[in-house]
Amino acid sequence: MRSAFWAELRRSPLRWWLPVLALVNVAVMASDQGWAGAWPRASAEALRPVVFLGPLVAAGAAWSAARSGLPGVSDRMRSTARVGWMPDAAQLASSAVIGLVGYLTGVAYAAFASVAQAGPGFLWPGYLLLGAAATAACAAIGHIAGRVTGSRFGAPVAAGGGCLILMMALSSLLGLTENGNAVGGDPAFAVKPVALDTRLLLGLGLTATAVTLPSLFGLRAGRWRPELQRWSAGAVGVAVVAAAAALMPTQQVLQERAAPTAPDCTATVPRICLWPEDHFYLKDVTALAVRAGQLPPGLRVPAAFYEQGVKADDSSGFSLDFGSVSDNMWFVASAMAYNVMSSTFGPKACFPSSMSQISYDKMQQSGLLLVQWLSTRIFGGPQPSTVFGGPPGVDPTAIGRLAKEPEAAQAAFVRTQATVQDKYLCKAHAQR
Amino acid sequence: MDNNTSAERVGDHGRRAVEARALSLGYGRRLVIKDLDFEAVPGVVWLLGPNGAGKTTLLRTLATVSPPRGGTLKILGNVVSGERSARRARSGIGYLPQRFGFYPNFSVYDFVRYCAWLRGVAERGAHQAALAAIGAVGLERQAGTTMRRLSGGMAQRAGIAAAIVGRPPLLLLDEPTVGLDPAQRLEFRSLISSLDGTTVVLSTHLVEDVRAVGGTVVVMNDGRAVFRGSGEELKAAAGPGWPGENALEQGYMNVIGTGQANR
Repeated sequence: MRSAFWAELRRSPLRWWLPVLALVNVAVMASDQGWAGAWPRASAEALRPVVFLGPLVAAGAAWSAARSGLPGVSDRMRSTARVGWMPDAAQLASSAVIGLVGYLTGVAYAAFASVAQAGPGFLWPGYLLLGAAATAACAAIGHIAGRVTGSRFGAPVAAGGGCLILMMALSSLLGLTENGNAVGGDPAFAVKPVALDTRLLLGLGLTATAVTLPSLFGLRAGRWRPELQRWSAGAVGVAVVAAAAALMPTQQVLQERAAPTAPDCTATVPRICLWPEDHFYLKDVTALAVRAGQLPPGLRVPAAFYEQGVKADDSSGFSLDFGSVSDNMWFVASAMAYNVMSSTFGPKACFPSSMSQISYDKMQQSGLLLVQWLSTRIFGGPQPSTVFGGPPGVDPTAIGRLAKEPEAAQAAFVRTQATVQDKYLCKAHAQR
Repeated sequence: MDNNTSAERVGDHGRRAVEARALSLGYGRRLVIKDLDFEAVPGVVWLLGPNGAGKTTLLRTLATVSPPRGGTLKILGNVVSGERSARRARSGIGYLPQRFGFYPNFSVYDFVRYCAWLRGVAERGAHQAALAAIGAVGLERQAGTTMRRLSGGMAQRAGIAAAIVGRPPLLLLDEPTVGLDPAQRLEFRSLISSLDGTTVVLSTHLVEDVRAVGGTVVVMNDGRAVFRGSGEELKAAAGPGWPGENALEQGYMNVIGTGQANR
């Protein structure tokens, strides 16, 4: 099948699009490199372009397959000495391979951008295979559309558009998004093997359907009756697609990983412990830890801060899933600030049930001011302009100015706010 | 078959590439050919006949593109009775349909190589076979040209190359000289004449091709083979008094019963 595959490859319109696909893929990834340096994040980033790559591959596959409807071509393909599905397989393989090469360009870029600074491990096959399965599924959908309609304009539009709509509508089921957000590659989570298998089966089932069934359409008197095996293979393909489609909504794509046995911790007091995969961030979080250790007296700083999932049964961990390193560090600093607050004043929710609204608002406002100030101190500067929002009623600029004032002034600020906290919070938890 | 003597001669030697008995062929409810016996051994068999006589239908069936409605068909020793047996036979059949299909974006080389693959020619040696076939039709310089850029005659030659690639023992050519200029027709005749040991069944409207190449002539009319014999025998059917140039045409017209050609 090698020669047929290469011949199909050389006639495919996708071969002209391939450099464009690859360039757009890399350009999109390069536009925001917050993922670079951490393998799971780089893997998830490599998966994301499938949302636009898939529909383009579907359109190209549809165009190639639709050309089989040209006068005489169908007869030629039908009267082959090869097993009936092989010409379709060669055709579909060429489209799928071009799409996968476009996809792999992004994967290679992700590896290239990460390898110099990343921690242990490599790109995560779970994410990469999800992308490959989605790309192959789109190629198969395009092939089916082209073979069934035989329209070289209508089929690509329908297949490309249909695939785009499917990707958007089913992105969560396909594993391209999680809870409405792009899969971020948080090392605390990994692709569930059974969910991955289901999606790979969907791709395989669609491929089997595409190479066996469409060529049977339009059969009429004057054609040899296709062999039973061909119908059977097509029926199996359809059954696999149906089964996978039925299973997908019942599955979570990601699952929590077991806590690492040897997390990557800073050599500071307090310590900050990360997933080994996030080794890339160790230098930046070390700076946070050092600053957390230099907070004014009166605040209780925990001995260690953990990234989400690093410490089993601890939901207070921070996440490193916010794009750029700077943004990430701000959010880590914020998470650390809340931990300092909890450690100092007790659990946030602990306040008397009889508290008036005015008292509650005062306590709340004072807590938010402290959190913003703690975040700014730990972060080592004001809230980055790329981070929007913040605690309500708190002026980040004013807090930024406060964080530059002499230590005595800041200690006075802490004492004032601590008095408010102590006044209203449960005494049982306010153990400073 | 009406002419038993000729039929026996076409099908002698026990080396029949094609052996069809009581073939009935058609489309939809229309029966185009009924109870046709047809045999062919190595050499050239010309199918002559007016439009609608059933030549293309017969060639499509011999190429195993369409199944017969009735009768038995044996191609290269394989009884063709279903997709599987048809597939076995196809590896030995080179077929040029009247309106042959190709992907316009294929280069000539890719087209010929792809057709070789479709016919089951082994990958090893397919490259050389494709180049040889392209060379045989004089398209070496166009091997890298896409099919859509070829003139009608060149495309027809590419189709012939696709049919002959790998030297199949049975060649079925439906009006292969359509679109060829006189020089190319001469080359085509020379090519056909050089295919020793190959059974070539080809349809044509051009009696001069028959005259030039020789071989067996089968004249079809209204779904029946109304004549089977050599060119000389067809000439003889013209009756006495016809000069050499036009005797073949007149013989043809006599056997299909449409009157006289110009003397």
